[in-house]
Amino acid sequence: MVNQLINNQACLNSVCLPQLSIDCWKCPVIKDRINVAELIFRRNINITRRLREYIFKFSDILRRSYGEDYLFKIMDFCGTHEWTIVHFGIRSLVPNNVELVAGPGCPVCVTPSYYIEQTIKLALEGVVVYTYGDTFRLPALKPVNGTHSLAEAKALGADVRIAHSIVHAAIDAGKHGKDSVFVGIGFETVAPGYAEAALKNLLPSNLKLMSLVKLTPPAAFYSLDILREKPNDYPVMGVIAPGHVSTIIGGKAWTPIVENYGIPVVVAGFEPNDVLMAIAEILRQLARNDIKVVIEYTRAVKWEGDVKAQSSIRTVFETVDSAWRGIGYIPKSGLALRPMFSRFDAFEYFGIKDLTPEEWRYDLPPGCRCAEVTLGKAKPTDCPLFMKQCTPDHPVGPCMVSMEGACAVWARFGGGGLSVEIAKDLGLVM
Amino acid sequence: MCWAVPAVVLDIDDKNSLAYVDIGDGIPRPVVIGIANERVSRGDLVMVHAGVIITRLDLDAINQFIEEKKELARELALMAGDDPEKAVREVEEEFNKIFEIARRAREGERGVVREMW
Repeated sequence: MVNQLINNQACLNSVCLPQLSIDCWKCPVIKDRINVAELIFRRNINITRRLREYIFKFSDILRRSYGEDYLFKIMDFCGTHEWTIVHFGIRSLVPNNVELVAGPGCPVCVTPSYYIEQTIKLALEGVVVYTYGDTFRLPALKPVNGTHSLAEAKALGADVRIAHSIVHAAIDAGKHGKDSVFVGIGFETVAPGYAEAALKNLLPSNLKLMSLVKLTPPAAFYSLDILREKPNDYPVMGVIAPGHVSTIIGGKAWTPIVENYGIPVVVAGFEPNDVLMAIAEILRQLARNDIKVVIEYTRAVKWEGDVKAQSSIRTVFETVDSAWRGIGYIPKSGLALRPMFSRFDAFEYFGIKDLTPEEWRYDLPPGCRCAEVTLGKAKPTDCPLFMKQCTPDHPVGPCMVSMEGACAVWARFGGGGLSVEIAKDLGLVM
Repeated sequence: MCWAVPAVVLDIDDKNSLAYVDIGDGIPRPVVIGIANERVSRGDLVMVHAGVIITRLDLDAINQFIEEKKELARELALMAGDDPEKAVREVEEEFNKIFEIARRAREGERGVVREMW
């Protein structure tokens, strides 16, 4: 039955293939595939109920062996996981000895203010700046000529354009021929796109790439180390690894966590049932003492990742020490263009000096606890600015800007901690 | 960092590593194929992240998810002293129901998805 429905390759027959039309989307086979995926992972309340039952049973076993008060902290690395958890209220579905902690997986939150200041400077000098929508609003620490963000620069007449992708920017920049820069923030997921664009010469000669790509595993190890340093707190007992980053780097990239920290890692998808399945699997591994890396998001992630993407990233970029906003330098955690591809390099073309560890200064606004929030040391509600000076409309810190920033997610959907407390007050959760 | 949308591949430009995809609004958009070109062909469901194809969705893997769930159900039933085969059958029935609903949705029946709630 399953195979009949989802293994059906009828859409690849000669009837639809020669015509390139939007009908592919209406094709019943594809529609059916999407329906099955959505029914299982998002809308199926029976599966959710059952997974919740599993989670409670395993947490009971753990409570018996670790003690009544032991808190099992599970870190969700990815900002998108945090979005799923808060948006679907997953924190209110887990037992009270399990705590979900947000991790550093939000590229906008960790891009140093220095680079934003440099792009604002370029924009004010007349260079066309292409940026993703969330970077557009990202506030810099030091204003450049009174301008705090690219959005303000645009209001002053600078040419700042929002791009969905580097291809979009390349097509647009090819039309006007003016000096342009693409603010290339992101993690491993966007890196193969930049690498392919460089390898296949897709960028016109006037468009330069400012590579601010960060790598996730070093940050993961760093934040786990930081959280272990706090002696009077419970350590992180499990990691929900980012699904889409793992499509590129593979499940194997997370084995150091199992080897060095002895905690389970589950590479999870982004639907609510995916996340619940990951929590159930982590608790099962802890209860059975069978610690390993498990891929839950099997429909997208392979153990080896995508070897071709990894090799094209290695060809175009080299791994460098990189600054994380409010956190500092993390060794081997960034990607810079290799000298061979310096013709695409915005730093070289526009003569921007790269940040060095000596010059890096703490770059969060006073009072903002974004760095602690991204490292899982504090909850957004612990921040004195949260929903007072700092709101999604007027973000002060970087975590309030992006859709994936923990503060922005909590501000929009009420926050996991808050909703649990409200549920407790109402007597809904024991 | 992981925000991605599913899309259908409409056309492939192998030379430039570009693909034209439809994310559901009927507008073909150019995106970079970040992964091995052999993994992407016309009509495939892919995940697109910031204009980069990062993976092909392999929905056969749902079988694996179902197997994992059966395994969990069996383990829990053994722990609680219930009949493990019965627990596995229940999971199977649950998924059969889902596939039945998916089939009806495919045939154009409206509002069937609501039955899951």
